[in-house]
This record gives sequence, C-alpha cells and structure tokens, in this order.
Amino acid sequence: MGVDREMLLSQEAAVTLEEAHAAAVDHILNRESRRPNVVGVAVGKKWTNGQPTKEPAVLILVTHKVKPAEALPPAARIPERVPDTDTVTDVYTVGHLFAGQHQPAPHYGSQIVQQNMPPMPDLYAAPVAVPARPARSRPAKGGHSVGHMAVTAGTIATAVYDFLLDATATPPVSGIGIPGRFYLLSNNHVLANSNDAAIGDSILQPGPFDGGTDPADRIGSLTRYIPLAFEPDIPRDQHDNLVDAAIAEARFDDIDREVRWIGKLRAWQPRAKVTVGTLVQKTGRTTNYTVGRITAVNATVDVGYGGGRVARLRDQILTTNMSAPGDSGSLVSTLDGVAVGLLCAGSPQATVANQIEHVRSLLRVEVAELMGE
Amino acid sequence: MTIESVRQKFERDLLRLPNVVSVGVGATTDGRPVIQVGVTRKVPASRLRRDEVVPSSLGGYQVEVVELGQPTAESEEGQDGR
Repeated sequence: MGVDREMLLSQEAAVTLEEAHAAAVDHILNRESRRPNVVGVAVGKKWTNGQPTKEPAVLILVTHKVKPAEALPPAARIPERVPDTDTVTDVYTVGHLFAGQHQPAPHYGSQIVQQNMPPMPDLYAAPVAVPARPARSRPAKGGHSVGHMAVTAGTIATAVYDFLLDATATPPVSGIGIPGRFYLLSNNHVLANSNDAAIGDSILQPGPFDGGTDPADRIGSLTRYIPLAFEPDIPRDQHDNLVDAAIAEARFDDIDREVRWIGKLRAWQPRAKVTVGTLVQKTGRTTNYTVGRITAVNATVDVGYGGGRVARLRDQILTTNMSAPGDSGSLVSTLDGVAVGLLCAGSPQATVANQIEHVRSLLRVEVAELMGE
Repeated sequence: MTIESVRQKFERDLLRLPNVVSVGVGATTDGRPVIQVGVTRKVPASRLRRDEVVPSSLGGYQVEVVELGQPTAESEEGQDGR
C-alpha cells in the first residue's frame, strides 16, 4: 500500500515531537497546573482554518473549547507553544475522555449515565457527587480495587493458581493435583507498576488511591509479570506485547475467585473461539458492572501508558466502551460466565482486553478448569 | 488469503497512517468479516491527501473505519500513568 511519506513525520520530527509530548504531559497534565477542561495530550499536526498544516504539533485535548480565550483566567489558557520547547500546540475538542479525568467522575453508576453525560455546564462546577472510595475486603474478590504500592488503583480480575501437574499451554489442557500457591490476577501496570516494580513488592487492597496503606492493607506480594515493551525505549514496530498481566501471591483465605456480581467463572475461552458480536460483562473498581459487545478480534492496538509511553499490543479483543480508568485488570467474560479477556485499556469509545488464553499460557496459571465451547 | 493474513500484511502500513491506532478483524451487522481500522477521530476524506485515506477494501475484504479515540491504560488517572 502506498503511503505518502511527505505527510508523515520524519524520524527527526517524530523524536522532537515525542519530547515535546513528554514535556506537555509533564507541564499541562501536571497535578498542580492542570487546566480546566484539559483531558489529554496527543501528537499530530497543527490545523489552521479547518485544514491540516505540515507543522507537527502537540494536541491539547479538551472537553470543550472556551472562546474567547480571554474568558479564561491567564493560568487556565493553553500556551501557544509547549513550555520549554519550540513545538506549537493545537487545542482539540474531544469531549469527556475518562482516562484524563483528574477528579473522580461525578457518577459512574451505569453505562447509560456515561453515554448520556451532558457537556459540563460550567467550567468550575463542583462535582455533583463524589462516589465512596472502593473499600477493603477480605476475602477480596474479582472486581475489587487493588494496586502496587506505587500505583494508584486498578481491579482484581479473579484468583488463579499455578498450572497443575499435566496442565499445558499447547494444547490448552488443565491438570489435576494440589496447587502450591494462589494468586490475584491483574495487569502489569496495576501490580508491577509497568515493569518498574521488584518481585516481592507489596500489593495493597484497596489500592493506594483508594486509601490502601502498607502494611495494613497488604494482601500479597508481586510474584511475576509479563514485561511490556514501550516506546520510546523500543520502537513500536518491534513490540511483541500480547498481554498486560501480572500475578501477586496471596493467602488462600484472603482471596476469592468469585467476581462480584458475576460469580465464579465456569470456564475460559480459547482465543480461536472468541468471536465478534459476542456480549460480554465485567465488574470493575470504577464503573462497577457493565455489559459490552465484542467489536473486533486479532486487533493490534497502540495504547498510551502515560508519560509519553506507548505499547503496541497485538491479538487484542476490542469491545464497545465498558470501562473507565481504575477498571484495568477486570476480567471480561461472556454472559454465561466464560472468561474471555483481561481488560487493560480503553478510550471513550472502546475497551481493550487481552486474550485470556495468552494470559493463562504466558503466566502459566489456571483461571478455570473447563474450556469454553 | 484469509482475512487475518490480509490484516497482518497491511497492519504495519495502516498503523503508520495519521490517527490510526488499531487494526483488527470485525464484522458487519449481517456478520461478514471486515478489516476494522480504529482511528482517534474520523476526518472527512476531503481533508486528507489521497494516500492518507484508509482504503475502502484490502485483499478483497471490506475495510471499516471506526472512531476509537485514544486508547490508554486504565489504571486510576491512567493519563498520568501513576
């Protein structure tokens, strides 16, 4: 397929832009200097009079534009250039991106509420209601808050155990015997701080953002994770990421494989049998119980991990939007209780999940004893 | 060629196009498989140069462009990564 290289960014421009993007993330998404309405930062081209120019730009994503800019206090205006760089900015309206919200969203009670959420009426309107922080629970189930001590919070998928005798990844067969150890399953970026954690680090339930402290709320310790390749360290064309997954060993009595509102998974689905159109459910820390539909499989997706890092994940499941920040790690299952995916990312329009078969075979843990049909 | 082999063949080129964030296999409402290309936002073809436009078919399979926004890891405050 022919691609016009001229319109694409040169290597040099891409590096400059990557640096500007990182600077913009630092400055503009910074906790202290966060501006009203800003929900994200991306890279692209400057648009002028409705037309794209050739000038690379850092896009500042906002829920809605405020015109004229003078209506905003000076500190709230978007600078013409990314601070400390020569790269221009462009303001781009995207509506409410859940990933960028600094405040807990007013209410994530249901999917319908999210989709019908009206534009924020007033720049400085107070949140309508602040939901109660997810609580500590023992035993902790799938759907509860969890996090590495240096991470905010994500979700427990379910409890798992090491492959039993005779269990194999290929062909996928469960075994028989007495498991040595039991674990919580979630994402690398939730339990292993995106590769930055050490084996044995404290895992807290609830996660630190939800009030979990060490050692009072320590539920287990990081046991293993599948490392993620990230840009800019490794160019995304060279990534071979299949899962964003990790496990933390916990006391058997402190964990429960049941998923809140869903119950025990009766089986896990081999990847070849995960099909577009299937209805799926998940319970997560932020949006609680949601239902979605699989819209794509075999998907290669570029996922932002903050700080300018991008991981290209392949063989992913895409669903209609059924999640928000904090739901990472949720187990995605069919409506009749067959595990299909490990939720790891999302956007306002879609949710991304790893194939549970890859999670199982790479971590060598059993999610359920039966295979889906 | 199977739709998956066609998808794999064009994946890297498609992911280099502006705004493209995913390339997968989806289906039409009547169940026919399509190559599904996810973009951060849809842009009218008239605003793109010819070679920036996602082709309407590849290897005999229909290509569907869907607006996904920017996929991000979903820990709490995922945009900050912490």
